[in-house]
Amino acid sequence: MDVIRPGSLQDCLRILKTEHTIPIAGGTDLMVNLALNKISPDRIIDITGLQELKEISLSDNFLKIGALVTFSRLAGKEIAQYPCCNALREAAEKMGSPQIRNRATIGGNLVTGSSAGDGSVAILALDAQVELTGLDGIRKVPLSLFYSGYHQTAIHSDELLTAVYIPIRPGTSSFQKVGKRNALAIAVASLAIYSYIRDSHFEQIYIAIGSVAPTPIRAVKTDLFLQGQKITSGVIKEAARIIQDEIAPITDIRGTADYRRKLIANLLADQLQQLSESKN
Amino acid sequence: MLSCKINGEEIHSEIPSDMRLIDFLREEMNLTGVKEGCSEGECGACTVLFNGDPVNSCIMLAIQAEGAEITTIEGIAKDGKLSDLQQAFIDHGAVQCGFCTPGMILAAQALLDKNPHPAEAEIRHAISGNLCRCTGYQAIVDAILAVSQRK
Repeated sequence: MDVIRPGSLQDCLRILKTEHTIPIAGGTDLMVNLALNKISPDRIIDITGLQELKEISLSDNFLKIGALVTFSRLAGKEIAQYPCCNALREAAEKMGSPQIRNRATIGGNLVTGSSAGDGSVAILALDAQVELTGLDGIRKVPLSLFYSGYHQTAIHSDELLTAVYIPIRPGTSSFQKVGKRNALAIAVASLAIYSYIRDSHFEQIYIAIGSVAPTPIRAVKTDLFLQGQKITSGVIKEAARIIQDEIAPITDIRGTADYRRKLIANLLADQLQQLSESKN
Repeated sequence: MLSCKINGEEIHSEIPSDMRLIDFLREEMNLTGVKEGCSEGECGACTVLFNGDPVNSCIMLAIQAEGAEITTIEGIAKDGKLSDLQQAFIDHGAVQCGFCTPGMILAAQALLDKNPHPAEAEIRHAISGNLCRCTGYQAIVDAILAVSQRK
């Protein structure tokens, strides 16, 4: 196996055209899969030298986060200034360990396509788009259409995920996960909410959930129910009931389907409760 | 060809492009203070500082250290004298089998370099990627706290 460090994005995309070639960034997932022989590419392109993929910038009310931005940076000041992106910062703080956060990148988290990916679940609630770059050009895909199946995404083998675009708007977001311990736990279930409350009513709400389906998913029925509602204890109860019916989790080594349903209902109720308290 | 700085020394080395950073450090540089535990980024025994930040050297390629500054436990003692953290680990009985110790000290050093007076919770957070199976964590946290309260 050959590892190549391209000098530019163009070089990288050219090499990516060749067969059995995959990119590596932080490597926190990929190196483990290589060691376990789950993947055996002929060629690996180390993209960590591409400085242009490490930028965070704001333009036209979209926060552009380069694919190589690490979780340590996502957990820091650069994201903290945008309340609507709270969920991403909270997910970044809770993901992995300090060592993993210093290497793992947002691009890697998204293309790995894990249903339990903390960053992926948070960003899904933020109505984000991913930028996929190939030699033929750039296309933007809403994250809600990015995941196609278990560890499957819409990215083509000759494309690189180069950035994520998050709309910056009024409102706040939050992320919670439950795992066996705080550090290095793969989520048994996780839930992120973006919402904008006006005159005590939900003007907009997006809920994303992890570890309850083959990919991170949006809880669209629950969103629809909550849209326009005022947060009362009755509404919270009903939303918690709806979201349990909306999901079809499986039983695996980390938890049973029933346990996951209850976790999701509780995570939703808890975050709605916090929203109602912060409003008063 | 890999060019980087290891424990303050400029290194230029011809290496296989798919070599892991941990193998480069242990096998080529004889820095055997870097320990291999789980090989998948869970235990932190292989922790080294990469431009001052702790990383797991078992899930990094050596080639990714191009241009970087790497610090291993061998680079922590200065002029044959143990660092404050190393001495505090001894004084507080924070070392038993010693396998996690290099990684623990490097994770703690990275914290103190950025935040010289951390709260206990911040210390526990900073070493949350390092497993110890012998002494338990209290002695380790006490050792780090002692150094942070000294100055």
